[in-house]
Amino acid sequence: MAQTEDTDTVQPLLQQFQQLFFISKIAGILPQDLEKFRSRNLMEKSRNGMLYMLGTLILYVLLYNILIYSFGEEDRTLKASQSTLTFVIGLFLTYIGLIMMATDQLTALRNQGRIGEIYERIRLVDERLYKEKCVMDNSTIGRRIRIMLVMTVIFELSILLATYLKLVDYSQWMSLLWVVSAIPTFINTLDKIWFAVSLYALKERFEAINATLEELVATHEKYKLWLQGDQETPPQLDSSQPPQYDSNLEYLYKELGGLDMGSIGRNSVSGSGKNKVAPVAHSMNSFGEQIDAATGKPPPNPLASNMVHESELGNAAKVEDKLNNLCQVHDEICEIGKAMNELWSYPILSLMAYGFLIFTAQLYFLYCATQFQSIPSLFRSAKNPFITVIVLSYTSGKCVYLIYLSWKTSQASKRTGISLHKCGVVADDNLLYEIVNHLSLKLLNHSVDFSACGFFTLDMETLYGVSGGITSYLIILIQFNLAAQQAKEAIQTFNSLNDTAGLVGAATDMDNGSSTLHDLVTTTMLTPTG
Amino acid sequence: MFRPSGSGFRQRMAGLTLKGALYASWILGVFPFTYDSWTRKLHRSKWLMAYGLVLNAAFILLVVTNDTESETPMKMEVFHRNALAEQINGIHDVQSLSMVSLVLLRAFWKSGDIERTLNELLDLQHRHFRHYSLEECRGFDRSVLIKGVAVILEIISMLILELGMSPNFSRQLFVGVTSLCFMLLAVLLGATHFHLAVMFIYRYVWIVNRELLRLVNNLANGETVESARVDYLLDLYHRLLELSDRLASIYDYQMVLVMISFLLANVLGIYFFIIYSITLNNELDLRSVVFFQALIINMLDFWLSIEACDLAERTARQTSTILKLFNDIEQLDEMVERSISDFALFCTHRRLRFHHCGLFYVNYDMGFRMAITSFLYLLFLIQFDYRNL
Amino acid sequence: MSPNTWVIEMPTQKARAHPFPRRISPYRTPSRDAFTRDPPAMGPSPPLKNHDHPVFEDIRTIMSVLKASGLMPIYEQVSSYEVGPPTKTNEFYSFFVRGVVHALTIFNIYSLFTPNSAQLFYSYRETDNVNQWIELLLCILTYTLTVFVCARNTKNMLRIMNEILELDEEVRRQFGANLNQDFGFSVKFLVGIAASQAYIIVLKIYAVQGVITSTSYILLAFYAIQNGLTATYIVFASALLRIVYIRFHFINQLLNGYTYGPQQKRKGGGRRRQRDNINSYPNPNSNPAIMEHFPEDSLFIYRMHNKLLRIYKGINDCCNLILVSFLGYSFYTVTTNCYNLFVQITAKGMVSPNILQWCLAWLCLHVSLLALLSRSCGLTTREANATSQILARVYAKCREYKNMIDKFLTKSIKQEVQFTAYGFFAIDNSTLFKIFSAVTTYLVILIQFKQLEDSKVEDPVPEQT
Repeated sequence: MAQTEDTDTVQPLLQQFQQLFFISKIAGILPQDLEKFRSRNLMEKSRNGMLYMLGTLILYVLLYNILIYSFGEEDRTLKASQSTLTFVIGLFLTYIGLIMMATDQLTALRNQGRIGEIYERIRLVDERLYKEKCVMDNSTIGRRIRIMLVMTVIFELSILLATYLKLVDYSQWMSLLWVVSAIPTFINTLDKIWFAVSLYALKERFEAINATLEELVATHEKYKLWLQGDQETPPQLDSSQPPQYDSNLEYLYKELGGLDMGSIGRNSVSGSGKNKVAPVAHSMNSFGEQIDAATGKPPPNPLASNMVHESELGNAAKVEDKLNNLCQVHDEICEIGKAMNELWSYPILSLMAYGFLIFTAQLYFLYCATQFQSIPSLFRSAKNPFITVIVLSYTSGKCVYLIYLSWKTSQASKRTGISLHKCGVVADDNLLYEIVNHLSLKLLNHSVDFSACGFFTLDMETLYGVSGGITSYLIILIQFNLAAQQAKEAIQTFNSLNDTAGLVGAATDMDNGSSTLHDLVTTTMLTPTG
Repeated sequence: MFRPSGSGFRQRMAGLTLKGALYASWILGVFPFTYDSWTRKLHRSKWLMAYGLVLNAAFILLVVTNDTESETPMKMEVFHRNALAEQINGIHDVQSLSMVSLVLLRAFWKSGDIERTLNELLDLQHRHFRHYSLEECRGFDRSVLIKGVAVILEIISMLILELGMSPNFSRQLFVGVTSLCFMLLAVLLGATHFHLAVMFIYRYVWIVNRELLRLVNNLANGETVESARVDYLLDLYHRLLELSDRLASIYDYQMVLVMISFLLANVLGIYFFIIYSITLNNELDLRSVVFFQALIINMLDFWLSIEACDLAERTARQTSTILKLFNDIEQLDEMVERSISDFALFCTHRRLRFHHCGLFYVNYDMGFRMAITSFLYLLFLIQFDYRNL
Repeated sequence: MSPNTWVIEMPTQKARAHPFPRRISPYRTPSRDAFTRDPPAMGPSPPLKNHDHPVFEDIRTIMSVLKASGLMPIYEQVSSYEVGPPTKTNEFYSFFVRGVVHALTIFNIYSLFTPNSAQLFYSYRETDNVNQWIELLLCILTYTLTVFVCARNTKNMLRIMNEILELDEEVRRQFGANLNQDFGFSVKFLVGIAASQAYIIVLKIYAVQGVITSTSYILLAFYAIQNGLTATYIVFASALLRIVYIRFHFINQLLNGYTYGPQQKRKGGGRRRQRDNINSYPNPNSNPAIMEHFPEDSLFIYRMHNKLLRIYKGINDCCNLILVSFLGYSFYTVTTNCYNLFVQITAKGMVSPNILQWCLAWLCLHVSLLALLSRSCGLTTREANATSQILARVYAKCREYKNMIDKFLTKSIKQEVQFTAYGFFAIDNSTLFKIFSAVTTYLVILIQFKQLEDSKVEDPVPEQT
């Protein structure tokens, strides 16, 4: 099954995952076989791994329950003394981290056969891209994984240590159990790193396809210039403009061109001959296609000039194969993206639910803590605003990064059509034009949209809706809290004077006004999405 | 255009409605055009415009000066009970007056565009669609009829509401009510113009659809079809879309304002009613019946304005479904095939949709959302008032 | 077995007499009357060995329930691929049942407005009583609407069934594939509905104090029947959608045989893993590596796709109103029951197991129905939209084939098919999410109301003391 003759030409993506796999294996996130991964970069089912994973799961659940039990004594007083609302929320959210972790682990168990398949498919895609002279550079991915791991450890440790030192009574030995409280989030983050990095790899492949197409355009333009015979003058960017740009884009184009001319020195030093992934980084912004067209045209450096003047786009029959192949690879990557989304659909859904609930709850408990009300013991990190900020940025960073990455990936896949059309325009060949038309129709029908179980798509719009939802629910919760506190005060002092009751009434009335406003905000937020 | 489209009873009634709308608009001065039957063109007439401006300004002035409405005991009772209701009512009054003046002013302001658009519609009708039989388009007749009925009902319910609620009849009241009714009629007629124009576009799209269907049928029967025919239909379709865009951009502010005031009226009406009947513990009697009919008619009219746009949109969506039928034909002439592809691509790029103010598309989806939002606003209002219940 | 047996069907004599439809109602798809291009009634239809093979055997149980309750016409089976209109007696029976239902409904409404029913609405709070009342009215409304719409759409329903059968027959002639599948879920749901309704009745009877009058029994029984039948209709709609889904899936599988994926796999000697379950690929005679059958097959697929879309739209048109009212009813029920549960849990001391069970039973029933409906709608919609995606994966060398692919693709860009609830919103998986987020919002508002109500009750206390 392993393609030994290809292994030296195309680096499998999984090679970069060594450390991550090792850590995940120890933590019990992946059941696959360690030895096989080490030796051959394969992810295969293994019975022992499965048993080990189940064991860890049970262990974590047990530990967590002991934690809840041992720290739960404070909560009993909470129920007696404080508002029921805080108690109910605390009760409800106690197990959500655990549920999230269990979802991750069980899904990984269910998918253990299929994850390896996905990486195998990515490797095949890499091979095909390699055949089209498009080399994928996986080293950035390895770096990314390391950065993410370090970030995770820093966040987890800082939260854990800060909370332990400041807020846990560490005179008792039972307080050491507090370490367990970090396990669910840590495991969840590790699992999400797998997803995020694989997604990033897919995005890079889309961008590599785009870059290849852009390069075709660029070489062909140079070829055309060469044919015109003005080789001795350095190519003016304005003269090489494809005619299809609007006049209002032209000034922008000129500006970008000027910028490009200014940075020629650096560009030629770094040498754009070999590494084709490098210009991709520029295509991140919204004017990606224009900038790519501008930066993708390297200055005529003497090294490349002797081989540049044969353009592939001149030969329609040859280029058809290439375009066809790229299109197929594009589709294959889309399919991989879909399959990946399906594999991780439940974990993502649970992560999003977790993020939403925890974010709201943490802020609410922070509010409670500032009002000197007691809060559930598991959420004691909310007592300190600084730790809260770290927790919130950690949680939201996870969610937002995933959403952002999914959005970017589908954007990159959609940009391929634009690049393809540029080929058609530049070549100005009837036959090629037909091919491009045909393929762009196909590209239109390739779709990769990331969604959580089909309930909502992962894009910026959802992020906007969710942040609106968080604010409005937070306000509603605080309002409830206020009302409950005031009612309690009113009961305590009910036999003093009548005007206090009147005051309370007025205050709650004011609340109503604000609630109307905020509910209004809620609904305007929710009605488009929900 | 305003001729009855056929000989059946329904068609004749629809024609009558159209004529009624035309003459009423002329009388009230909201249709400042004269029809030149020789060139088949509408001309903007300065005199009619001036007449309309003066007349409507007079109506508004009369309404403002003869406002006896707020003195009715029922309202006084409600306001006494709930100060918020009074404030909201004040806002609503100001909003409706400004709505009326804005709608009328914008209609006059844009009259040049309206003239051109209507002339183009007339031109289309005369040059291209005259040859097709228009009798079978039931949706058109029904919608026109219902709209006419709704306008009449709206006026009647307004009269009943105003006269039935006030106990003391005075001259001032009568002047106020009459001018109010005329003003309302003018606004409603302005909205009706848009509605009718949309219906005409709907009918033309419907005809294009039918022609396409006929072409498919011919092809399936083994007859040949010229590609010029498809191109001709595409051209018509293109012009229709253009027209609908222009129409929407001319009438968008008016329609949005009218819709908002309908919604507001409904929400506030129910709110007042709840205060009146539940908070003040009044018995339900004849007044509630009067009230409910007004509410229902209001809702009907609101829904009609959405329904018209949705109808046109749905019909336009069917075009692409019909185009798919051409897939079935095995040996298609290359030219025809290319024309059909052009048509299909055009349909994907542009759809017949009514986009108001760059904010929203008018269709059932939006209507549903609007209804839900107004229900929520009602809830909030009640919540605010809950302590007074 | 060869695809060449397929011939272009000419329009019938009748369709030719009227080359264009005499009437296109805006609510229907335009291609209804004139373009069904039905083959002439299957007089000389190919002799099949199981001629008296009953149609729609897969969903027989649910059909018989609906037939008995007058919601579906008791059709006659003309041949194994066609159903005819019901006979006079059967029609009369359906008519009679519907009449009885309406009479009962009127009786019900009458007794709701009179003190007859006071016994059933024991109250633990004023607002809840009103809630239950509204719920009852909504249930009655939904069921009445269902009956009316079904009665009006009898012919449409028969036509849809005929179209499905006709399509099946074509598939059978072409590929010899039988598209029947197990619809076990419909039976399971039927049992579940019946059980939960019975359970709810029992709970209700236990909850009522004193002797129950016969009126109350009738009320209760009819209420349960109404609920049950509405739910059954929803299951039936889901089953119909599932049938359409299977057909869509079939043509997608057929098309999948031509995509580059499996082709490459053949060439590469199984180097690639199998992506889809192509093993179940039902067409034995078209070797995917050979594109020669592609023109005929693709035309067939286009035709099938069009027909299926028409059927899909037809089903949508038939159930539109019922779905809207059911969704509204179900939304309301879920909200009130969640609210009741919340009240029960937070109330101090007076947790009543009866009400808890009642709420849970309702929640289970409605949530599962909503999930079923949205799932089957979502599946079918996705499958219908997948056809163009799969077709985009077909890479042909020959220019002619390319044109053939383009022909379909051009017409289906951005023309997403949707199953809508009367145009208000599309029903798919996201509907479930939207409904639940809306439930949360309303729940919060309701709870806020309750708090205000409580504080209102508490406030007068200090004034008295």
